[in-house]
Amino acid sequence: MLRYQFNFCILYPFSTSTLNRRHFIRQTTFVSLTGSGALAYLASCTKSKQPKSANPAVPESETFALQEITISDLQQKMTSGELTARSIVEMYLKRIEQIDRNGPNLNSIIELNPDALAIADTLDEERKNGKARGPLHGIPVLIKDNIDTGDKMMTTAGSLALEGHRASKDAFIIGELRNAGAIILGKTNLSEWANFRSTRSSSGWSSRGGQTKNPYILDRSPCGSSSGSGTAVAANLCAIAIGTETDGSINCPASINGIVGIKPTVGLWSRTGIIPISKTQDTAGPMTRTVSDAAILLGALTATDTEDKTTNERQGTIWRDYAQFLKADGLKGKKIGIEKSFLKKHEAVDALLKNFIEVIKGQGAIIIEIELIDKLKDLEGMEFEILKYEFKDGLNKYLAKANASVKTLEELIKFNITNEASVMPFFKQEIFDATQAMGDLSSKDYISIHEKLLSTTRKAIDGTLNEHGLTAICGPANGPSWCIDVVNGDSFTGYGMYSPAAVAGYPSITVPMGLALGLPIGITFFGTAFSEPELLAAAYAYEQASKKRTPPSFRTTV
Amino acid sequence: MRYAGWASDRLRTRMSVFDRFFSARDDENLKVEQQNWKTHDLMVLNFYCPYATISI
Repeated sequence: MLRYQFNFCILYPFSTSTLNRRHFIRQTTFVSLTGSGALAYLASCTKSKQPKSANPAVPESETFALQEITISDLQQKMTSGELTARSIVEMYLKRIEQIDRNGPNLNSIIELNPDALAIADTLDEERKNGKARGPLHGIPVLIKDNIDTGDKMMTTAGSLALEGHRASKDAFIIGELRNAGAIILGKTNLSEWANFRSTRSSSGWSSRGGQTKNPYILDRSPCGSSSGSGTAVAANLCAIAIGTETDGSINCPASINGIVGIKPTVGLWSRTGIIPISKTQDTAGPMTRTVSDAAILLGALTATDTEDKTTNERQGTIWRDYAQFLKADGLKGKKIGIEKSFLKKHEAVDALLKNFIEVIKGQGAIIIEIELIDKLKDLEGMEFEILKYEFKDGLNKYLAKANASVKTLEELIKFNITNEASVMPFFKQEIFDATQAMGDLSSKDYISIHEKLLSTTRKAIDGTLNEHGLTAICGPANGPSWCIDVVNGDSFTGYGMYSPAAVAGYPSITVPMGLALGLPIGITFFGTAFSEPELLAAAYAYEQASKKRTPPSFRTTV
Repeated sequence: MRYAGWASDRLRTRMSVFDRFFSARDDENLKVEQQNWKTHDLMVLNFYCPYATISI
């Protein structure tokens, strides 16, 4: 989660008393948006908020055979012959048609895999012949659309600039996923370019995919940038999904869609074949309904990739089976640090946090009040500087090798200007512009800021953990979701406990903590590098003791 | 008259800002100004400051 003092224009859109040049530019930009393209989209948004069915709550939802099903349930049913991989894929495809493309029109999936049923048949045949590859055999997975799939589907980061781009080969983790027997059901919508195009974007909106909705309350944001993965998992459109995060993009949509998200330590999963923002902070990770499913997926894709230095040179122990660390008493005797500066922001979140503390105390955890966020105040702005340098470098390298028509960031910016009406009807590309002006990674500024940012953040986290003997640091992932607003952009509601871990490259896990006025709120656990086993144990123990996930009911508004 | 003149000057100044703004991308001064604005806005990132955020 990257932070801007930016949203005051939403609160005071026409305040003359605070009018200054920046307000003026924003307001005139707003005026410029009222072209025909924007009006047409706004009209379609209004329509989409009136679901096609009279009852957007989807009557079949309650009786959906795969409702809240887990990987182990699916394996059991496939082993017993009650279900096949084909029948599972068929059920998900039907549900996607019913509620993603009709009914509440969640719009979480940008493209379906035309080969999904054929792959399912192959895997069913293998199982019939006595070969089950492992826990992911026959399990349908949705993939965020910034991860290369070397198949008939496109990889576009949601951008029309990459429409038609089919990756020549799978991303490393997709190869691992296929080897494990998973079925790639389709690709999920996202905040375009993983939300690194504009400071006034609407999370879950992309020029190719449109706006993804929050399945709990349809006029609310699904957060992002792994919006489609979050919504699809929450709405039972797949068994599990994969998202990516630079700062918040797994944890935030996991929290706001009431699911579990893991952002692994940078270096646990390979990033080869993923459209990048930052080589320092990017990683893909599991998005699932349970901690167990997340642990299974985490282990299945943990491997060493010779093309990704962070996996080659990692300094830590990795595991192919993280499910072994899931223990119901995983919090017993553990010291958990809780950020106290996040109290008294939203009373509904405070109430959930109070309950969280009571639950983990009941599980034998020892609560330590901490104030980590204050220690990181001096780093204002540094993260964004690093991301700008690394985005330009990483994206240019990715595009140079891709089969896309744009080959550089500069060409991408020009494409967006040429196709402004369709690509940028609501918000522009000021982050792209700022990024294009950056130097390369040999720049002294980059090297010195990078070193200071990483070392300060890591020291602050590790220092806090060591000082108190903590297993994990916790705090609310987000406040309640805000209304979707493509005109003014996101209106984030604070917290963001996962950010220090994102900057440090450390792991974080978000687990449902309950509902605030019908909107899910997650609690984030994070720790030092490669502490996934300890974090999973703590998160699993809390999940099992609290059982706070509630499936969405597709309400139209609060 | 002095007041009107002052107002007129002020209006002219304001108009010039409007003109410069709307006249566009070819105006090098404006480009610099816009870039400053962008840079400024992007530089006021308030790291770890709740309430104003973006998720990437």
